[in-house]
Amino acid sequence: MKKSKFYPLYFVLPVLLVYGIFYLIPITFGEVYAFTNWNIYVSDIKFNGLDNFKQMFTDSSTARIFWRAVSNTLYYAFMTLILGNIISLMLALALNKNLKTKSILRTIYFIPTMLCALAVGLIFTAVYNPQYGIINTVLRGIGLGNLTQQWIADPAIAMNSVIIAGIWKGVGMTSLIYLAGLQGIPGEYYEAAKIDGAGKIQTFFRITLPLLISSVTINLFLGFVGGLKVFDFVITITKGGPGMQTQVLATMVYKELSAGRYGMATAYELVLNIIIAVLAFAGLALLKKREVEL
Amino acid sequence: MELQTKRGTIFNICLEIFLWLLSLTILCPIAVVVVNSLKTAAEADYLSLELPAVFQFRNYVEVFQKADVVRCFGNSVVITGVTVLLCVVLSSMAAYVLSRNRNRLSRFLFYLLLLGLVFNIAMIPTIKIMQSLKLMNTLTGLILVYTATSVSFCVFIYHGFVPTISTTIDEAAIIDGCSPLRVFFQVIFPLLKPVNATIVIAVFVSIWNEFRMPLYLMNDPKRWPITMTIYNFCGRYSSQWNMVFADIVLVTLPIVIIYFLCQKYIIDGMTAGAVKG
Repeated sequence: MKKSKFYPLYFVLPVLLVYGIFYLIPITFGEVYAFTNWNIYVSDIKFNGLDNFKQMFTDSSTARIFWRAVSNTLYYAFMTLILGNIISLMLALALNKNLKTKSILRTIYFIPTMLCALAVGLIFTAVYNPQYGIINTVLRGIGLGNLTQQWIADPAIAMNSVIIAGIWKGVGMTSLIYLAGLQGIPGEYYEAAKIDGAGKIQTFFRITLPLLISSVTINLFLGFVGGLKVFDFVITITKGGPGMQTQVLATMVYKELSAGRYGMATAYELVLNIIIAVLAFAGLALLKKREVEL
Repeated sequence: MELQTKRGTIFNICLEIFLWLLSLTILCPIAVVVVNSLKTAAEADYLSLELPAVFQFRNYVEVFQKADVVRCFGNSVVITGVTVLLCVVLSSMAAYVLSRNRNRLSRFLFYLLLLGLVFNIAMIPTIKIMQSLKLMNTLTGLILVYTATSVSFCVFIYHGFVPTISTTIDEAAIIDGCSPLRVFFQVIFPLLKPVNATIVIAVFVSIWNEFRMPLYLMNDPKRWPITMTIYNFCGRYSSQWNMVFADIVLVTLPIVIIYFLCQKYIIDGMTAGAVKG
């Protein structure tokens, strides 16, 4: 049977058209500005080769912020990826059990995902408030007053506070994807495992996890890329501060853009995109390989 | 055997209690928002969980009037609804063909489409293209940009699930003389139901909550989606938590209601379990 006749390429055409015009063409032309001196103070845009990147990597003050932003971006991405996925998977396993209040619980855990990132940022600004915020109030209330923190103003923990907000919002969606995967596993497999006398842990690693691998791939890939692109929570909760302590690459793009240095902003964007591309596709290749092996 | 099921029940009860305790980490911040949205500005300064002395329902009336909530809600419904529809139909078609044709071209197109998951949209060139197509400041333009930025995620998800539907199903339909479009829409598409449910929620939530695109692409407040009201509102009332919280509740409420209305379908769609290995 000739395959292309039954799976014709015109099925792909509408997507390619919209995607090409409104996404691919703009990003292709957009990157060119990274090699120009374009800013609001000059009238003619000139190519300046690698000057923007030279400044980014070598100029002492810029370079310090740049490397801080890179390490913050990676730290945020890895922390939300690992903690977020562990919590989501455990939550999905629990919510897949035959519980009485299953559907109410599922709804509650999905609420943060339904909120707009802007709203989540504002909510956490309130929750972290050192005087009246709910976290410090509860800590004082249960006699652990010495554990209260300046959640946003303390440079040592500000980044972690942003990470908590990111996980809080992300878990609903991630666990929903795991839940969908869990429900695709035929019940007979578990019965067979039970008859064969497999323990709970063995069943999880030999049946659940391998059959869940496409959900795992989806969640790890999307979570990692989303983490590297983090912007909303940083801009709403810490605004990159205190100082430049919690700047990430996406907020640097925004910072340069609002300062009117469009060329430099695009250069930051290009660096971010290259980091994402290299790490995400390497990770995806690794995951796909495992998927085949299993 | 009986002992084992009994132990299972006790375990489930403990698990349920634990899940309810854990859910406080979500319910408490939400309660702070709801309770404080009903207080006076001075009371709301304390961000406490105490009930207000007098319930200030007028906050909501004020937000309603000042933020043009009804019109923006309508815009959001149109923008989100059409985008979700386009994403579901177009991406499932594309993913089906790209997944079934295991050749070099399909693989190339699939990875080309995945780029959208990786790179952020470039705002300035997009604005230029929108201007030349006369789509600036139109709902159509915003919908097309949203569709372009969402299809990568959708194709990625569908592409992962299509192989779980056996090719013998399409072969049988083809032998019966169905055209490719009929094979897809009458046979394959219904089998994608659990994935469709996931896609609908994911795209709906992300587009409903998006606010950066309209910031760049829409100058006309009459065509703003509802999230822009939070953005706009926080600028003006940043020190008044009661107003900000009331607006957050108003913006979030529709999505919560839609979730409740669809919930049965969502869970049914997932438990239908058409996807089998």
